[in-house]
Amino acid sequence: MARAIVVIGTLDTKGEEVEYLSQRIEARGQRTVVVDVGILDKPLTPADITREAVAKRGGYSLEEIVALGDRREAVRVMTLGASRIVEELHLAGQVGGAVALGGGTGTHIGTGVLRTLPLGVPKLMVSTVASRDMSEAIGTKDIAMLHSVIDMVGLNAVSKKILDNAAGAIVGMVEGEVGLKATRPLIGVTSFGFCTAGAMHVRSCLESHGYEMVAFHANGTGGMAMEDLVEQGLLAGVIDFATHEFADHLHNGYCGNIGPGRLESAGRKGIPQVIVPGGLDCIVLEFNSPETMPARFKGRKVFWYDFRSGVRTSAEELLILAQTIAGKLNKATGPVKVVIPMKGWSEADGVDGPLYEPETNQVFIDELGTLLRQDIPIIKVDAHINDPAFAEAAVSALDALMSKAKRSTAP
Amino acid sequence: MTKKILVLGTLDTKGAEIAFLKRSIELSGCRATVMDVGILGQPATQADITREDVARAAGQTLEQIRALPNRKRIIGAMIQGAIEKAKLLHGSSGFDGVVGIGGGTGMHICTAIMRSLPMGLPKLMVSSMASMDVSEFVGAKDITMMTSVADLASLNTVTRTVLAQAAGAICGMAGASVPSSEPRTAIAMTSFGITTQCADNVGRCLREMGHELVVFHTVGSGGMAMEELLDQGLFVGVLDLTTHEFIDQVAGGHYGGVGDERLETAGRKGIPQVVGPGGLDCVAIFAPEGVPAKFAGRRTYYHDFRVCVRSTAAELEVVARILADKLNEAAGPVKFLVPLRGWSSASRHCEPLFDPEADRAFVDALKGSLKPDIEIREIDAHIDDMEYAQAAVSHLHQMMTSSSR
Repeated sequence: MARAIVVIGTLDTKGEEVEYLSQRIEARGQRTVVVDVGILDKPLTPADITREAVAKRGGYSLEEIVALGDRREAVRVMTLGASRIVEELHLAGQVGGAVALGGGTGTHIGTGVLRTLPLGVPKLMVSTVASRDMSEAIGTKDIAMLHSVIDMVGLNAVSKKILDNAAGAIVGMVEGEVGLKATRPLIGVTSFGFCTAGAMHVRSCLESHGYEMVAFHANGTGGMAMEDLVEQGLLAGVIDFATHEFADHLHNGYCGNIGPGRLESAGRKGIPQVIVPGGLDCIVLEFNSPETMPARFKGRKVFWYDFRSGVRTSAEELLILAQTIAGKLNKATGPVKVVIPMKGWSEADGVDGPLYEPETNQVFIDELGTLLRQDIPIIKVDAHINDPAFAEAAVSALDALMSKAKRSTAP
Repeated sequence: MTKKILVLGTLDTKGAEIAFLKRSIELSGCRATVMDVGILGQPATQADITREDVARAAGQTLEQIRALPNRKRIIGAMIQGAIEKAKLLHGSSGFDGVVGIGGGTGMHICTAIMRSLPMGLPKLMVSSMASMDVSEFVGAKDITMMTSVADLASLNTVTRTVLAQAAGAICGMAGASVPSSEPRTAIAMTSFGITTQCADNVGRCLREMGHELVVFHTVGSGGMAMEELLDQGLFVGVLDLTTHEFIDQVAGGHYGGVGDERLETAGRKGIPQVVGPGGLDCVAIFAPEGVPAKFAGRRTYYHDFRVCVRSTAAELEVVARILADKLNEAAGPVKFLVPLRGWSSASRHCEPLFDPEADRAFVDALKGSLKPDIEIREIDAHIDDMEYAQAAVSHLHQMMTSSSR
């Protein structure tokens, strides 16, 4: 059977809209499978996978959920049931892509289901609440969010246009898909604005060694996305070039929204990793003038950037960071090396940069040396993080681990 | 006809990615026009609209912009120029969709350009920062945000997959059919959770009269989205019956984040409007840890994870004056319709927020501040009653027919 586009919605409140969306997708030559995740009133339009079937896969009968009268539990069960069904369809090779539509609750259920599909399968959420904090809804997945602007209450010229756009988008994504096939070993590399130049050097070094680089924007979700793809088995090795997220995490900074699993997946999977203290010299916060600078950072050195600025991390903070990072790396089952640029850890921490403080950085290096397992070496490179020489050193450190790993697994 | 897509990005840092996106768009059968909004280094690929063109549209040379004292002003100037160029292009040869790619700064620049373009025109932003609070970037516009997952710092298996899907998405959207050009008879209306019944009733009345209803969810961005679409000329009349956002603004509720223009566009454009006090009876708050101290002692209504607390006479008097100031400026006809038996399902008789005295204080203050030619009608019904919806629709209809004569 040809692959279909899964359409997810609550057919009691959004029946007309789901039906219209599904028709528009079919008019473009794709087959649809409509999944009803509603439980309130009777469905207004027919489903291919009914709410009864969804509830059952969630572990209840529909009657039981309705009788429960607990909205939160009902939402959890319907999300779980739909996720299991969609996952099974995907494993059977029947899913070309998936689209969901809804308001607050519908977005919660819809993105919950979409997140179960792996990276690369087209996913679209049409939502009335897409213009706000979407970090929980999207997580680390490649979900496209279409802001519906208007409320989804009935079909009209505006809602039809939005749904037509949505149909076009998901069909276009499905037809435009190139498939996720790696030809060379993929190396995950974290990076952020203050060490972009270094990451670009890493890329050319990796390519000349026969690897392909996949960069992750270390902004909180970016680092977690890399952890996710390590789990998916897509990455052969890791250069965690910008561990900056940990510094921001201390003070709820701009890139600090990481989960407890950050810096742990590569170790658990046993793939080779090189760790670099990129950006640990600073905490990035949203302020752009001395007046708007949070009081608790007053007196620290500042790197003025744009609407964000970096403040210098202190020796005390670096001690905590060394403990956190060492704790995680010591659990690794695969090979690890720490590579440190002795002339500065970011654009702000160069010899002429506003946050340059090698003696404070040294506190981190010393503490890490005390705490790390004996077999995890710390390689000190007499260069700045953005220098080509440093990238060269980081990549050769990884390459050595990769070839060793390969030799040891070879028959 | 070949669809045209405007592609936005900084060609210095994202040159290869944009070239790939452009190729993918052209493989999908659309034509791509690339606008370079970067200012660092040298563009890595050719632009159709160059950074020099963009700078010129901002009234400066690229060198002048580079010499500005800080990054914020440099970016501001490029945004200004790019908006000019995009609007000019849209107004002349036109395009059928716009797609931008970027990290933090790229998203800031590209979404600013997209927000300046009209609703309905497909807009797609591919960003490594899409999985966070995007309210500033999306605003009240129909922008689709796509997370790039991996950083758009090089072409690789992951980024090629994402960019190919983005090309498919924007071409698919651009090829989407445009609604038929039936005469414009759409009416805009505001509503939220506890005035939903009113929206249903109004929808039923309007359908009988051959009008189409478009409902906006008054949660801050929804009210402002309606103002923007009114400005685009999409509606022939307005039923702003749920003005709840104003009590949240005055009393510190959750949905008070409206712009200055709220409740002003219909008046400025001379579009007939019926306004009501829907939801002014309550201040909506997020209160996972209980009702905040400043609302202690007030009557409460538990919605779900949100709580409504009763608004006071004093707060309502302030709201009345704000509404009156705005409506007094209207160039078109206005009526204010007050349902005397409650302004939301939380303030029906016997419901916790029922407080006719506070409601009365609002009506009196409104009467004292509205100019005499704006009629205030008191309807002996609850906002959810069919009677109120019928009255609102028939007053609007009256104003529309007499103003078109």
